Amino acid sequence: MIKRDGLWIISGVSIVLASIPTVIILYYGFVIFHDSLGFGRTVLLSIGITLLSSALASMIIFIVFTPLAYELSRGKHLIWESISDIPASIPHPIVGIAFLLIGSPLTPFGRFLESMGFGLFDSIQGLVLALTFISMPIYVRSVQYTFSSRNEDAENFAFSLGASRLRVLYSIMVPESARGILSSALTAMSRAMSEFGSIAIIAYYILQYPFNGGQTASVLIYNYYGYYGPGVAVSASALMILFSMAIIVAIRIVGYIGNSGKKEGSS
Amino acid sequence: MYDEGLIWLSGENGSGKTTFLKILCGIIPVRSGTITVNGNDITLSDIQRRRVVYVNQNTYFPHLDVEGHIQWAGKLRASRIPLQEVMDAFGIDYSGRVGRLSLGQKMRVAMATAFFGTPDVILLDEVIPSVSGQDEIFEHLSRLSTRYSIDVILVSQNIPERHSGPIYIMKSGTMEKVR
Repeated sequence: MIKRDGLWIISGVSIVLASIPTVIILYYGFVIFHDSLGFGRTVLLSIGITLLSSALASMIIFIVFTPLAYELSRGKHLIWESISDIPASIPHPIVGIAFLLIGSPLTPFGRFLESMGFGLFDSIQGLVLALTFISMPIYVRSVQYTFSSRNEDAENFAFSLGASRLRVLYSIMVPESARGILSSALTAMSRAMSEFGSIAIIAYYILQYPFNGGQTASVLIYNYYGYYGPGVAVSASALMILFSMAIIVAIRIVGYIGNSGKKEGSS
Repeated sequence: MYDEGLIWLSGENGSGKTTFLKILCGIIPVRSGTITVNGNDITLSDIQRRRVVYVNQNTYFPHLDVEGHIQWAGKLRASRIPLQEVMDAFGIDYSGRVGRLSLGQKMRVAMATAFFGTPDVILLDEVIPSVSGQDEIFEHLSRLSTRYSIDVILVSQNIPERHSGPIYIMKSGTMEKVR
Protein backbone atom coordinates (compact mmCIF):
# COMPACT_ATOMS: atom_id res chain seq x y z
CA MET A 1 0.00 0.00 0.00
CA ILE A 2 1.31 3.45 -0.96
CA LYS A 3 1.84 5.88 1.93
CA ARG A 4 1.50 9.50 0.91
CA ASP A 5 4.03 10.93 3.36
CA GLY A 6 7.16 13.09 3.06
CA LEU A 7 9.16 10.30 1.42
CA TRP A 8 6.43 9.88 -1.19
CA ILE A 9 6.51 13.61 -1.99
CA ILE A 10 10.31 13.72 -2.37
CA SER A 11 10.22 10.56 -4.53
CA GLY A 12 7.45 12.06 -6.65
CA VAL A 13 9.51 15.24 -7.20
CA SER A 14 12.51 13.05 -8.20
CA ILE A 15 10.38 11.21 -10.75
CA VAL A 16 9.12 14.50 -12.20
CA LEU A 17 12.73 15.78 -12.48
CA ALA A 18 13.86 12.51 -14.10
CA SER A 19 11.06 12.59 -16.66
CA ILE A 20 11.46 16.24 -17.76
CA PRO A 21 13.80 15.59 -20.75
CA THR A 22 11.61 12.75 -22.03
CA VAL A 23 8.39 14.72 -21.66
CA ILE A 24 9.94 17.79 -23.35
CA ILE A 25 11.12 15.70 -26.32
CA LEU A 26 7.75 13.96 -26.67
CA TYR A 27 5.84 17.24 -26.43
CA TYR A 28 8.05 19.20 -28.82
CA GLY A 29 8.51 16.25 -31.17
CA PHE A 30 4.86 15.34 -31.61
CA VAL A 31 3.10 18.65 -30.90
CA ILE A 32 5.32 21.65 -31.62
CA PHE A 33 7.80 20.64 -34.38
CA HIS A 34 6.02 17.59 -35.77
CA ASP A 35 8.47 17.51 -38.72
CA SER A 36 7.54 14.88 -41.32
CA LEU A 37 11.25 14.18 -42.07
CA GLY A 38 11.60 13.16 -38.44
CA PHE A 39 8.96 10.45 -38.91
CA GLY A 40 10.12 9.43 -42.40
CA ARG A 41 11.26 6.13 -43.88
CA THR A 42 14.94 6.78 -43.04
CA VAL A 43 14.11 7.27 -39.38
CA LEU A 44 11.98 4.12 -39.32
CA LEU A 45 14.83 2.18 -40.97
CA SER A 46 17.27 3.50 -38.37
CA ILE A 47 14.92 2.48 -35.55
CA GLY A 48 14.65 -0.93 -37.21
CA ILE A 49 18.47 -1.24 -37.32
CA THR A 50 18.64 -0.16 -33.68
CA LEU A 51 16.03 -2.69 -32.56
CA LEU A 52 17.50 -5.53 -34.65
CA SER A 53 21.11 -4.98 -33.59
CA SER A 54 20.14 -4.52 -29.93
CA ALA A 55 18.01 -7.69 -29.97
CA LEU A 56 20.85 -9.66 -31.61
CA ALA A 57 23.31 -8.30 -29.02
CA SER A 58 20.94 -9.37 -26.21
CA MET A 59 20.69 -12.88 -27.62
CA ILE A 60 24.48 -13.17 -27.91
CA ILE A 61 24.84 -11.85 -24.36
CA PHE A 62 22.36 -14.49 -23.12
CA ILE A 63 24.20 -17.31 -24.88
CA VAL A 64 27.75 -16.23 -24.05
CA PHE A 65 27.50 -14.57 -20.65
CA THR A 66 24.86 -16.53 -18.70
CA PRO A 67 27.46 -19.10 -17.53
CA LEU A 68 29.69 -16.23 -16.32
CA ALA A 69 26.78 -14.75 -14.35
CA TYR A 70 26.20 -18.14 -12.70
CA GLU A 71 29.88 -18.58 -11.88
CA LEU A 72 30.06 -15.08 -10.35
CA SER A 73 26.90 -15.74 -8.31
CA ARG A 74 28.40 -18.81 -6.65
CA GLY A 75 31.85 -17.73 -5.60
CA LYS A 76 34.19 -14.88 -4.83
CA HIS A 77 35.68 -13.72 -8.13
CA LEU A 78 36.80 -10.18 -7.43
CA ILE A 79 39.09 -9.98 -10.47
CA TRP A 80 36.56 -11.56 -12.83
CA GLU A 81 33.84 -9.24 -11.55
CA SER A 82 36.09 -6.22 -12.05
CA ILE A 83 36.93 -7.31 -15.61
CA SER A 84 33.27 -7.85 -16.45
CA ASP A 85 32.51 -4.33 -15.17
CA ILE A 86 35.14 -2.64 -17.37
CA PRO A 87 32.85 -1.99 -20.37
CA ALA A 88 30.51 -0.03 -18.10
CA SER A 89 33.27 2.16 -16.73
CA ILE A 90 35.20 3.27 -19.82
CA PRO A 91 34.17 5.96 -22.32
CA HIS A 92 32.36 4.11 -25.08
CA PRO A 93 34.29 5.64 -28.00
CA ILE A 94 37.21 3.62 -26.62
CA VAL A 95 35.15 0.47 -27.17
CA GLY A 96 34.55 1.54 -30.77
CA ILE A 97 38.26 2.18 -31.28
CA ALA A 98 39.11 -1.20 -29.72
CA PHE A 99 36.82 -3.03 -32.15
CA LEU A 100 38.12 -0.91 -35.00
CA LEU A 101 41.61 -2.11 -34.09
CA ILE A 102 40.54 -5.74 -33.61
CA GLY A 103 38.87 -5.76 -37.04
CA SER A 104 41.65 -3.85 -38.83
CA PRO A 105 44.43 -5.37 -40.98
CA LEU A 106 46.84 -4.30 -38.21
CA THR A 107 45.95 -7.42 -36.22
CA PRO A 108 46.11 -11.08 -37.38
CA PHE A 109 42.48 -11.54 -36.31
CA GLY A 110 41.45 -8.47 -38.31
CA ARG A 111 43.29 -9.77 -41.38
CA PHE A 112 41.52 -13.11 -40.96
CA LEU A 113 38.11 -11.40 -40.69
CA GLU A 114 38.84 -9.25 -43.75
CA SER A 115 39.89 -12.32 -45.74
CA MET A 116 36.59 -14.00 -44.81
CA GLY A 117 34.69 -10.87 -45.89
CA PHE A 118 33.60 -10.39 -42.30
CA GLY A 119 35.21 -7.05 -41.48
CA LEU A 120 33.83 -5.13 -38.51
CA PHE A 121 34.01 -1.56 -39.82
CA ASP A 122 30.68 -0.10 -40.96
CA SER A 123 29.03 -3.49 -40.72
CA ILE A 124 26.13 -5.02 -38.80
CA GLN A 125 28.52 -7.52 -37.16
CA GLY A 126 30.73 -4.68 -35.91
CA LEU A 127 27.67 -2.88 -34.58
CA VAL A 128 26.31 -5.98 -32.82
CA LEU A 129 29.70 -6.82 -31.31
CA ALA A 130 30.10 -3.29 -29.91
CA LEU A 131 26.57 -3.36 -28.47
CA THR A 132 27.21 -6.82 -26.98
CA PHE A 133 30.33 -5.57 -25.26
CA ILE A 134 28.86 -2.40 -23.80
CA SER A 135 25.57 -4.01 -22.66
CA MET A 136 27.12 -7.14 -21.19
CA PRO A 137 27.90 -5.77 -17.67
CA ILE A 138 24.25 -4.82 -17.06
CA TYR A 139 23.08 -8.32 -18.01
CA VAL A 140 25.79 -10.14 -16.06
CA ARG A 141 25.20 -8.15 -12.87
CA SER A 142 21.43 -8.49 -13.10
CA VAL A 143 21.45 -12.25 -13.78
CA GLN A 144 24.15 -12.73 -11.14
CA TYR A 145 21.78 -11.13 -8.62
CA THR A 146 18.89 -13.29 -9.87
CA PHE A 147 20.95 -16.46 -9.40
CA SER A 148 22.42 -15.50 -6.04
CA SER A 149 18.97 -14.69 -4.64
CA ARG A 150 17.91 -18.31 -5.20
CA ASN A 151 18.11 -20.85 -2.40
CA GLU A 152 21.03 -23.21 -3.06
CA ASP A 153 19.35 -26.32 -1.62
CA ALA A 154 17.80 -27.42 -4.93
CA GLU A 155 21.15 -26.95 -6.69
CA ASN A 156 22.94 -29.01 -4.04
CA PHE A 157 20.27 -31.69 -4.41
CA ALA A 158 21.02 -31.79 -8.16
CA PHE A 159 24.78 -31.89 -7.53
CA SER A 160 24.41 -34.70 -5.03
CA LEU A 161 22.44 -36.65 -7.64
CA GLY A 162 25.54 -36.35 -9.84
CA ALA A 163 24.73 -33.33 -12.05
CA SER A 164 27.59 -31.15 -13.31
CA ARG A 165 27.45 -27.38 -12.79
CA LEU A 166 26.76 -26.78 -16.49
CA ARG A 167 23.89 -29.26 -16.40
CA VAL A 168 22.47 -27.58 -13.29
CA LEU A 169 22.79 -24.19 -14.98
CA TYR A 170 20.93 -25.15 -18.14
CA SER A 171 18.40 -27.63 -16.79
CA ILE A 172 17.64 -26.05 -13.39
CA MET A 173 18.85 -22.48 -12.99
CA VAL A 174 17.97 -21.07 -16.42
CA PRO A 175 14.42 -22.54 -16.60
CA GLU A 176 13.67 -21.55 -13.00
CA SER A 177 15.06 -18.04 -13.48
CA ALA A 178 13.62 -17.58 -16.98
CA ARG A 179 11.66 -14.42 -16.16
CA GLY A 180 14.59 -12.79 -14.37
CA ILE A 181 16.89 -13.67 -17.27
CA LEU A 182 14.40 -12.34 -19.84
CA SER A 183 13.99 -9.14 -17.85
CA SER A 184 17.79 -8.76 -17.66
CA ALA A 185 18.14 -9.40 -21.41
CA LEU A 186 15.52 -6.74 -22.12
CA THR A 187 17.36 -4.32 -19.85
CA ALA A 188 20.58 -5.05 -21.76
CA MET A 189 18.69 -4.53 -25.02
CA SER A 190 17.35 -1.25 -23.73
CA ARG A 191 20.91 -0.17 -22.88
CA ALA A 192 22.13 -1.19 -26.33
CA MET A 193 19.36 0.86 -27.98
CA SER A 194 20.67 3.99 -26.30
CA GLU A 195 24.30 3.49 -27.35
CA PHE A 196 26.06 6.16 -29.40
CA GLY A 197 29.77 6.52 -28.56
CA SER A 198 31.10 3.17 -29.76
CA ILE A 199 28.75 3.04 -32.78
CA ALA A 200 29.94 6.43 -34.02
CA ILE A 201 33.42 4.91 -34.37
CA ILE A 202 32.85 1.33 -35.52
CA ALA A 203 29.54 1.43 -37.40
CA TYR A 204 28.61 4.98 -38.35
CA TYR A 205 26.94 3.56 -41.46
CA ILE A 206 25.82 -0.01 -42.07
CA LEU A 207 26.89 -0.56 -45.63
CA GLN A 208 25.64 -4.12 -46.15
CA TYR A 209 22.44 -5.18 -47.86
CA PRO A 210 19.61 -4.66 -46.88
CA PHE A 211 20.66 -1.68 -44.75
CA ASN A 212 22.46 0.06 -47.65
CA GLY A 213 24.11 2.84 -45.70
CA GLY A 214 21.49 3.02 -42.95
CA GLN A 215 22.39 4.26 -39.48
CA THR A 216 21.30 3.49 -35.96
CA ALA A 217 18.76 5.89 -34.47
CA SER A 218 21.29 7.50 -32.14
CA VAL A 219 23.71 8.28 -34.99
CA LEU A 220 20.94 9.41 -37.37
CA ILE A 221 19.45 11.76 -34.77
CA TYR A 222 22.93 13.19 -34.15
CA ASN A 223 23.31 13.70 -37.93
CA TYR A 224 19.88 15.28 -38.27
CA TYR A 225 20.68 17.70 -35.48
CA GLY A 226 23.80 18.78 -37.37
CA TYR A 227 22.13 18.98 -40.81
CA TYR A 228 18.63 20.27 -40.09
CA GLY A 229 18.73 21.69 -36.59
CA PRO A 230 16.62 20.64 -33.62
CA GLY A 231 13.20 20.37 -35.32
CA VAL A 232 13.79 17.15 -37.29
CA ALA A 233 16.08 15.70 -34.62
CA VAL A 234 13.49 16.24 -31.89
CA SER A 235 10.70 14.67 -33.98
CA ALA A 236 12.89 11.61 -34.73
CA SER A 237 13.88 11.46 -31.04
CA ALA A 238 10.23 11.48 -29.96
CA LEU A 239 9.53 8.51 -32.23
CA MET A 240 12.58 6.65 -30.90
CA ILE A 241 11.50 7.34 -27.31
CA LEU A 242 8.16 5.63 -28.02
CA PHE A 243 9.97 2.45 -29.09
CA SER A 244 12.29 2.64 -26.08
CA MET A 245 9.30 3.07 -23.78
CA ALA A 246 7.70 -0.03 -25.30
CA ILE A 247 10.80 -2.03 -24.34
CA ILE A 248 10.80 -0.54 -20.82
CA VAL A 249 7.11 -1.41 -20.38
CA ALA A 250 7.90 -4.98 -21.54
CA ILE A 251 10.69 -5.18 -18.91
CA ARG A 252 8.31 -4.01 -16.19
CA ILE A 253 5.58 -6.45 -17.24
CA VAL A 254 8.04 -9.37 -17.30
CA GLY A 255 9.43 -8.29 -13.92
CA TYR A 256 5.96 -7.92 -12.44
CA ILE A 257 4.84 -11.33 -13.68
CA GLY A 258 8.08 -12.80 -12.32
CA ASN A 259 7.56 -11.27 -8.89
CA SER A 260 3.91 -12.28 -8.67
CA GLY A 261 4.92 -15.80 -9.75
CA LYS A 262 7.49 -15.93 -6.94
CA LYS A 263 4.91 -14.77 -4.39
CA GLU A 264 2.48 -17.40 -5.65
CA GLY A 265 5.16 -20.09 -5.43
CA SER A 266 6.17 -19.13 -1.90
CA SER A 267 2.63 -19.13 -0.52
CA MET B 1 28.84 -45.84 7.35
CA TYR B 2 28.69 -49.59 6.73
CA ASP B 3 25.38 -50.69 5.23
CA GLU B 4 23.36 -49.80 8.31
CA GLY B 5 20.00 -49.44 6.53
CA LEU B 6 17.66 -46.95 8.08
CA ILE B 7 19.32 -44.71 10.66
CA TRP B 8 17.52 -42.20 12.83
CA LEU B 9 19.32 -39.03 13.85
CA SER B 10 17.77 -36.74 16.40
CA GLY B 11 18.83 -33.85 18.58
CA GLU B 12 17.84 -30.40 19.72
CA ASN B 13 17.73 -27.36 17.46
CA GLY B 14 21.22 -26.06 16.76
CA SER B 15 22.93 -29.29 17.82
CA GLY B 16 24.58 -29.66 14.39
CA LYS B 17 22.40 -32.25 12.62
CA THR B 18 22.06 -30.34 9.35
CA THR B 19 25.73 -29.31 9.40
CA PHE B 20 26.68 -32.96 9.87
CA LEU B 21 24.53 -34.03 6.92
CA LYS B 22 25.92 -31.25 4.72
CA ILE B 23 29.46 -32.30 5.58
CA LEU B 24 28.53 -35.91 4.78
CA CYS B 25 27.27 -35.10 1.29
CA GLY B 26 29.97 -32.55 0.47
CA ILE B 27 28.10 -29.24 0.65
CA ILE B 28 30.32 -28.17 3.56
CA PRO B 29 34.01 -29.16 3.23
CA VAL B 30 35.63 -31.37 5.87
CA ARG B 31 38.21 -29.63 8.08
CA SER B 32 39.50 -32.74 9.80
CA GLY B 33 38.76 -36.45 9.93
CA THR B 34 37.55 -38.78 7.19
CA ILE B 35 34.22 -39.89 5.75
CA THR B 36 33.99 -43.53 4.72
CA VAL B 37 30.98 -45.08 3.01
CA ASN B 38 31.04 -48.87 2.56
CA GLY B 39 34.82 -48.85 2.85
CA ASN B 40 35.36 -46.04 0.33
CA ASP B 41 37.01 -42.87 1.58
CA ILE B 42 34.93 -40.01 0.13
CA THR B 43 36.40 -37.24 2.29
CA LEU B 44 37.91 -35.37 -0.66
CA SER B 45 35.41 -36.44 -3.32
CA ASP B 46 33.30 -33.85 -5.15
CA ILE B 47 29.66 -33.67 -4.14
CA GLN B 48 28.79 -35.14 -7.60
CA ARG B 49 30.92 -38.25 -7.03
CA ARG B 50 30.02 -39.07 -3.43
CA ARG B 51 26.76 -40.85 -4.20
CA VAL B 52 25.32 -39.23 -1.06
CA VAL B 53 22.06 -37.38 -1.80
CA TYR B 54 20.83 -34.63 0.49
CA VAL B 55 17.08 -33.92 0.68
CA ASN B 56 15.38 -31.19 2.67
CA GLN B 57 12.17 -29.18 2.30
CA ASN B 58 13.64 -27.00 -0.51
CA THR B 59 15.12 -29.74 -2.65
CA TYR B 60 12.80 -29.91 -5.63
CA PHE B 61 12.67 -28.42 -9.12
CA PRO B 62 9.39 -26.49 -9.47
CA HIS B 63 9.47 -26.23 -13.29
CA LEU B 64 9.55 -29.99 -13.93
CA ASP B 65 6.52 -32.28 -14.00
CA VAL B 66 6.35 -35.09 -11.45
CA GLU B 67 7.53 -37.93 -13.69
CA GLY B 68 10.17 -35.77 -15.41
CA HIS B 69 11.46 -34.77 -11.95
CA ILE B 70 11.98 -38.37 -10.86
CA GLN B 71 13.43 -39.44 -14.21
CA TRP B 72 15.85 -36.50 -14.13
CA ALA B 73 17.92 -38.44 -11.57
CA GLY B 74 17.97 -41.43 -13.93
CA LYS B 75 19.55 -39.30 -16.66
CA LEU B 76 22.53 -38.69 -14.40
CA ARG B 77 23.05 -42.24 -13.13
CA ALA B 78 21.49 -45.42 -14.47
CA SER B 79 18.79 -46.36 -11.98
CA ARG B 80 18.58 -49.79 -10.39
CA ILE B 81 15.01 -49.14 -9.26
CA PRO B 82 12.07 -49.32 -11.70
CA LEU B 83 10.29 -45.97 -12.01
CA GLN B 84 6.91 -47.48 -11.18
CA GLU B 85 8.22 -49.13 -8.01
CA VAL B 86 9.58 -45.87 -6.66
CA MET B 87 6.39 -43.99 -7.57
CA ASP B 88 4.24 -46.66 -5.90
CA ALA B 89 6.45 -46.70 -2.81
CA PHE B 90 5.92 -42.99 -2.22
CA GLY B 91 2.26 -43.01 -3.24
CA ILE B 92 2.82 -40.75 -6.23
CA ASP B 93 -0.37 -41.10 -8.23
CA TYR B 94 -0.55 -37.44 -9.22
CA SER B 95 0.99 -35.41 -12.05
CA GLY B 96 1.56 -31.78 -13.00
CA ARG B 97 4.31 -29.29 -12.27
CA VAL B 98 6.09 -29.93 -8.97
CA GLY B 99 5.96 -26.23 -8.05
CA ARG B 100 2.16 -26.42 -7.86
CA LEU B 101 2.03 -29.37 -5.44
CA SER B 102 1.63 -29.24 -1.66
CA LEU B 103 4.79 -29.48 0.45
CA GLY B 104 4.03 -33.09 1.40
CA GLN B 105 3.57 -34.05 -2.26
CA LYS B 106 6.77 -32.22 -3.20
CA MET B 107 8.68 -34.15 -0.53
CA ARG B 108 7.36 -37.46 -1.81
CA VAL B 109 8.61 -36.51 -5.29
CA ALA B 110 11.98 -35.40 -3.87
CA MET B 111 12.42 -38.69 -1.97
CA ALA B 112 11.36 -40.70 -5.03
CA THR B 113 13.90 -38.75 -7.12
CA ALA B 114 16.63 -39.42 -4.58
CA PHE B 115 15.88 -43.17 -4.58
CA PHE B 116 15.59 -43.32 -8.39
CA GLY B 117 19.16 -41.99 -8.55
CA THR B 118 20.17 -45.09 -6.48
CA PRO B 119 22.98 -43.49 -4.49
CA ASP B 120 24.80 -45.20 -1.61
CA VAL B 121 23.31 -42.91 1.04
CA ILE B 122 20.23 -40.68 1.21
CA LEU B 123 20.00 -37.96 3.85
CA LEU B 124 16.47 -36.86 4.70
CA ASP B 125 16.68 -33.64 6.70
CA GLU B 126 13.33 -32.98 8.42
CA VAL B 127 11.53 -34.32 5.36
CA ILE B 128 9.35 -36.97 6.99
CA PRO B 129 7.41 -34.59 9.32
CA SER B 130 5.97 -32.74 6.31
CA VAL B 131 4.58 -35.91 4.73
CA SER B 132 1.24 -37.42 5.71
CA GLY B 133 0.94 -41.20 6.27
CA GLN B 134 4.35 -41.32 7.91
CA ASP B 135 4.10 -44.95 9.08
CA GLU B 136 3.50 -46.12 5.52
CA ILE B 137 6.34 -43.97 4.15
CA PHE B 138 8.59 -45.26 6.91
CA GLU B 139 7.85 -48.88 5.90
CA HIS B 140 8.56 -48.17 2.23
CA LEU B 141 11.79 -46.35 3.08
CA SER B 142 12.87 -49.35 5.13
CA ARG B 143 11.97 -51.80 2.34
CA LEU B 144 13.68 -49.83 -0.44
CA SER B 145 16.72 -49.25 1.75
CA THR B 146 17.16 -52.96 2.42
CA ARG B 147 16.31 -54.15 -1.09
CA TYR B 148 18.66 -51.79 -2.91
CA SER B 149 21.35 -51.43 -0.21
CA ILE B 150 20.83 -47.70 0.21
CA ASP B 151 21.57 -46.32 3.67
CA VAL B 152 19.08 -43.68 4.75
CA ILE B 153 19.66 -41.18 7.54
CA LEU B 154 16.45 -39.59 8.74
CA VAL B 155 16.68 -36.44 10.76
CA SER B 156 13.70 -35.64 12.93
CA GLN B 157 12.89 -34.61 16.47
CA ASN B 158 10.48 -37.51 16.94
CA ILE B 159 11.65 -41.09 16.69
CA PRO B 160 8.84 -43.58 16.05
CA GLU B 161 8.58 -46.37 18.64
CA ARG B 162 8.47 -49.09 15.99
CA HIS B 163 11.85 -48.08 14.53
CA SER B 164 14.23 -50.95 15.30
CA GLY B 165 17.37 -49.66 13.53
CA PRO B 166 20.23 -47.54 14.84
CA ILE B 167 19.44 -44.28 16.61
CA TYR B 168 21.91 -41.45 17.09
CA ILE B 169 21.48 -38.33 19.16
CA MET B 170 23.39 -35.16 18.32
CA LYS B 171 24.43 -32.94 21.22
CA SER B 172 26.47 -29.79 20.60
CA GLY B 173 28.11 -31.22 17.52
CA THR B 174 28.85 -34.62 19.10
CA MET B 175 27.02 -37.74 17.99
CA GLU B 176 26.08 -40.46 20.41
CA LYS B 177 24.70 -43.87 19.43
CA VAL B 178 21.84 -44.69 21.78
CA ARG B 179 20.78 -47.91 20.05
